[in-house]
Amino acid sequence: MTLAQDPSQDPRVLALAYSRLYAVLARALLRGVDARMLAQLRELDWVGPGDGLEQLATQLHATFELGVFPYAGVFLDPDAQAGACADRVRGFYARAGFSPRPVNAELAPDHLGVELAFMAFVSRAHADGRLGPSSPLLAEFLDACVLAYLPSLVIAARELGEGAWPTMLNELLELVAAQRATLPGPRAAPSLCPAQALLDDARTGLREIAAYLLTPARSGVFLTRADIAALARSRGLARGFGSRLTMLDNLLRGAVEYGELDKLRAGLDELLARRDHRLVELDQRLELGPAIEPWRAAIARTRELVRALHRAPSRDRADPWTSKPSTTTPPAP
Amino acid sequence: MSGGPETLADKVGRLLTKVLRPGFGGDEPVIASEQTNAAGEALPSYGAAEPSREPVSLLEVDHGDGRMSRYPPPERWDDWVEWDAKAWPRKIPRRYSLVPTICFNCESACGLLAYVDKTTFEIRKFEGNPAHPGSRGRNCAKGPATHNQIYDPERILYPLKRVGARGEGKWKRVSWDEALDDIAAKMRQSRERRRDGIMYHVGRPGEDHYTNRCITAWGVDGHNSHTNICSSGARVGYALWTGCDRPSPDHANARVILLISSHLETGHYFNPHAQRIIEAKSAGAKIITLDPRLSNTAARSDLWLPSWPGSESVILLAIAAHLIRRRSYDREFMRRWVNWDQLLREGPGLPGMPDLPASAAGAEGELSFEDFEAYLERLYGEFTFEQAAEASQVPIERIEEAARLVEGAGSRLATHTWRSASIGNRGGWQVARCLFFLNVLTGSVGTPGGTSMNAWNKFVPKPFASPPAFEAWNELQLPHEWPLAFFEMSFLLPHFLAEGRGTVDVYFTRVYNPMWINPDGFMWLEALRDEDKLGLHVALTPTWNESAWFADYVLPMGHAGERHDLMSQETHAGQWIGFRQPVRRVALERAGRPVQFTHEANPGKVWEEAEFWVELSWRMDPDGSLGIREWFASPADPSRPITQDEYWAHVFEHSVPGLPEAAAAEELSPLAYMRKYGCFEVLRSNYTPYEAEGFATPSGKLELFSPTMRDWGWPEREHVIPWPLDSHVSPANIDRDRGQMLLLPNFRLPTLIHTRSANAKWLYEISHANPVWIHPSDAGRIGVQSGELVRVQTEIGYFVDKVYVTEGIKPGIIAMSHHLGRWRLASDMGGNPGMSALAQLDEDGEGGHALNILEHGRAWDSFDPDTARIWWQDVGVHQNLTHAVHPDPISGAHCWLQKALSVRKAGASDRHGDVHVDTRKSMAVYRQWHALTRSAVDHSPDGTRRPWWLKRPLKPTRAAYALPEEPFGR
Ligand code: SF4
Repeated sequence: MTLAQDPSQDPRVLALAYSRLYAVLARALLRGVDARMLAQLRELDWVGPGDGLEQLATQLHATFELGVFPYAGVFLDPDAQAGACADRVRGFYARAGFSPRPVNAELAPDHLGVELAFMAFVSRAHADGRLGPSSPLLAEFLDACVLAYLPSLVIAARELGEGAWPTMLNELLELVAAQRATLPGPRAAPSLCPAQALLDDARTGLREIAAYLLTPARSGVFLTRADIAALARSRGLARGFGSRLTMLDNLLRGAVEYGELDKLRAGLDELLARRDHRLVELDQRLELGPAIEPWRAAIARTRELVRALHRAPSRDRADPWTSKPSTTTPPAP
Repeated sequence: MSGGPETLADKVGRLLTKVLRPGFGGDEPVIASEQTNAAGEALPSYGAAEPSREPVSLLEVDHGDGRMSRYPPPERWDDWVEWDAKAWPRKIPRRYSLVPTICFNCESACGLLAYVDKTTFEIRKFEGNPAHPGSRGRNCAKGPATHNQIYDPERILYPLKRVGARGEGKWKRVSWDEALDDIAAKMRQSRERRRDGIMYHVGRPGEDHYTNRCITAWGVDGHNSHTNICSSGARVGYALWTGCDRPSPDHANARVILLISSHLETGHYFNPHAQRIIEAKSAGAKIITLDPRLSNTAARSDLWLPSWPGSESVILLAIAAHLIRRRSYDREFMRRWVNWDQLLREGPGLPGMPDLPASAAGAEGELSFEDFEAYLERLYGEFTFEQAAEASQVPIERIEEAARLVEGAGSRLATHTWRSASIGNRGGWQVARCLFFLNVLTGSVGTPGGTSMNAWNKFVPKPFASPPAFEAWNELQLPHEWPLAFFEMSFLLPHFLAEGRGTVDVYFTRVYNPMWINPDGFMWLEALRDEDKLGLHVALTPTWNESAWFADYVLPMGHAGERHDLMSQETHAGQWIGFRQPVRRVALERAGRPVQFTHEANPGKVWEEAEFWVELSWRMDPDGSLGIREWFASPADPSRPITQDEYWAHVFEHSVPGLPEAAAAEELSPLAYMRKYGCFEVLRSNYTPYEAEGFATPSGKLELFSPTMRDWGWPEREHVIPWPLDSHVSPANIDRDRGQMLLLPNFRLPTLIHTRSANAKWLYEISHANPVWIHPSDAGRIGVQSGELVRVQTEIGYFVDKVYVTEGIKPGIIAMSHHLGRWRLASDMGGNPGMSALAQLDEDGEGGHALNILEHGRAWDSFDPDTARIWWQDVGVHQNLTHAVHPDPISGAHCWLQKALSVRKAGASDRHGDVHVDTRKSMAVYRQWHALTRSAVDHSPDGTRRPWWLKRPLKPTRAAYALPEEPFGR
């Protein structure tokens, strides 16, 4: 029998164990992996024998600095800004007396690493008895600031490919789900952006559509550079270089100009459907219910939008495809 | 557990169980919220400014000269906010306290600006100090790499005391109090018995008066420097001319820059000189370089003269003779400032000196300047371009072109030689003398674009209260056989000890690694192990080194941003002082957190010498009975030791002209001004000061003719006037037909600095190996290709290294860089595994010594992930061990160039890095060179040991100059 199954196990000991696991992940995310930490990660089977310090460092960079951005704000904020949920998380930090010294560039307070440090800190407080078992603090924090976006982050990272970091994110989600199940209080659902009639707005051009798609709190998904590149490659379209917004804007414009919008729409829909399916899988396995529903709803709306793109050119607009004057002809309806 | 798939609960339970295992660890907080001190133990971390704090713009100033134009404005240095470059593309503002300090890597004393994080007080980076008049905001690669040295995972953090036998590698951590009390007691015992038992052996001082003052206060003749393996040859040449022992070329304003060796990229005053040389080149100046190696300097020169080592003087005198023949020298300057009348009166009749021309001496018997001109032509008439081309193996057109350029330089000829030919060859001091002859002929002495002397361009303030000169003479440092040496015969210390000339009670090595850097290192090994001869060995060092391994105490001292020192250098035709500061301490004090001793602010218990010496001296004389303690008492409260603030406040208030006024203009005290800017410009320019003061020679003139040489036993023409001397590695002394070659072992790399930089990962990534440069014709003869091993046999042993086949070296010469080949004796201590090789020492008990490499460089795991990324193995070969000592009989310089008795393809049993030496041969070669000396006992004109006017780093009383009653060996 393992510890979590043992009903006689002291909840304070359990809290200590969670605290340590969160601390390991927090350190790994915030500081990268050093030799001592590598031994710990190996002991936990979170990295394989082939994962050396060098690979982990390069993958860390590729996953979290080039791929997905592990900030609550990136997923939950209407402008998808890192640090945008700072006030929200700081409120929790202040309640627990946690005052993180901003350590490095990643340390907007809503960075997942800082949140994990906080979770380690609070779990430790539970373990020490400084926080009683009935304290709602951790449960509320997990709902509002972690489970609110972690599933979407886990799925986006997984699509970057196999690797230690996506694996560890997945493990983290499992841990958080398991711990949340032991904590009191009803589950709270995240509030994402309300539905938006984007295509009804005369000012909407391709760039606005690209921005919408790149805002997880609206579209329900995080699109990485790799996602955009894969969409372009599979449809034989160019996406250029630059920010993700520039790349997606290029891709949409290219699709319109070269009459490939239908194919691109199909690709986007495929991606959205896949992400939705992954959410369902997660929910079935981890019973995330309220944390998942708003994301699925957002994805459903985005699929609608993508479908509607097909109809949009027939509308009576000077140039619905770009906010700038265009010399190209939109495809026939 | 059943055989079914693992449930989530099982899985999580398994993880939770694992982390609860005792020993899993990890209960320390992930994120601290305040001041940290991570160096040596963890990577530093930094705070972020509050979101509202937007970065401040850089200042933009067009100075119209070589100064930097964009930098943080000094009024914002107390609270500087900038984006974190590493966080790009995100915008993370960081808050720093910018604290100026002075680089401690080479001798140039460039200004650094430490970016000290305002939350953690960790140092984020070092950039250039734009206020610094010498470096003008710029640095070479080694300046910013100070950060590596501070956060080096292998740095020594605590005072260590030996347990077990010397060199056994067993250490225990002790407190500063324990170390101070023990060392001070031994110093006191020694001082009570004698005045020559304490020796302070310094590598690069990196400061200008502080420690010398301490040694003087101890009342002992205890200063021993590295000068004789560095610059003594050049110093003698310059001193005989001017009384000052260093040149200070005004490169920036020169029309022609004449360099001996790779001075642009690696010479003395690397960065300050390099930027001014390039400034001049951009303005049209021509660069001439003499160097047998195609260095970066040679490659960027207008004229490269790849001369055979030792032939430089012949080329220089051919150019001089050209000017003399054509009377195109500056006659008025020569007439006024050269001791030509003394030459005419006292020179003729000396061995080899021609008679005066028959026309000399007019009716009244007066000798005229015209007589001198005729005599000069007679003296130097024999030097021709043809002869120079033959001796140097340089195409004659290049020498003619050099002469044409020098002639056209007018008074804007900047020249420099320091460590290359002057320290390489027997008689190398004459290279400096012949070079400066061209400055004298062109009148480009102390002129804009000409060459000044260090004393004119370097400002050393008077110390706080000067102790009187000591009455002592340490025969182990300046023995009677070398009365003109510049300065102490430091590299012969083990040979002197082996001969039984004396002993040392307390031996300090200060940022110095004598066994590694000196020639004949196995002689040092024998000396360092001998507790009867070297009593207590205290190594003051920021990093492990080969010699410290054999010390009794290893005391960690700070790097550039961890110590107080005051420094000035003759970087250009002005004067300035630079203040090295412990930057964390200053930043903490700015933030209102007082610090009593610098080791409280530094990593671990790393200290600084300035405070260490005060505490040590205080304990050496606790009751004041030795007359030492009074020099270390606080002026405010004599019952306690002086603090650094008190010391420097006094110096800046009383000894630096203009500083109190400049400080007052900013409503600062002089100390606060120096803490803020880290430097002060004393004089913007200082040309031709000799117009007011004359020269520091006995005649007050530029001494073309040296009566000193004549009077101290060297009366021959080749010694009394600028003249070529036969080098020990002249073509006649290298039998190339028998496979002998010349080993040029001392070229520098711009990215390393001797043994100081082996803990700088960025620098080692750039340069880590020192292969043997060899010309394709020689490689073909031997049958080796690049990367293959050769065995190089020297006079006392051999080493095995890889070759680099290149046309960038002259045929007949092999060359190796100077800084590489570090080793350690323990796998996990004594140096960085990525920068040093794990070695084994063996000896046969009769003088045979072997160093074999067990493991070359490798990656290793530490808190710094970069150490796991070391991709190189070759960390060089310690060639110096195989160099015989070559003490020049006059300057005392170790003449670095070696005769390679054979260079052949390595055999099957040779391994890369192997070194073998027979120290019996070491002593034999030492005795051969010793036999060339002319002792003061036989030649002193006045019963003294050394001409009084010649410099010594610390001058004793006149009484101490009396010849010894029982000179060694007599
Ligand atoms: S030139 Fe010397 S003093 Fe200047 S930055 Fe480089 S190492 Fe430091």
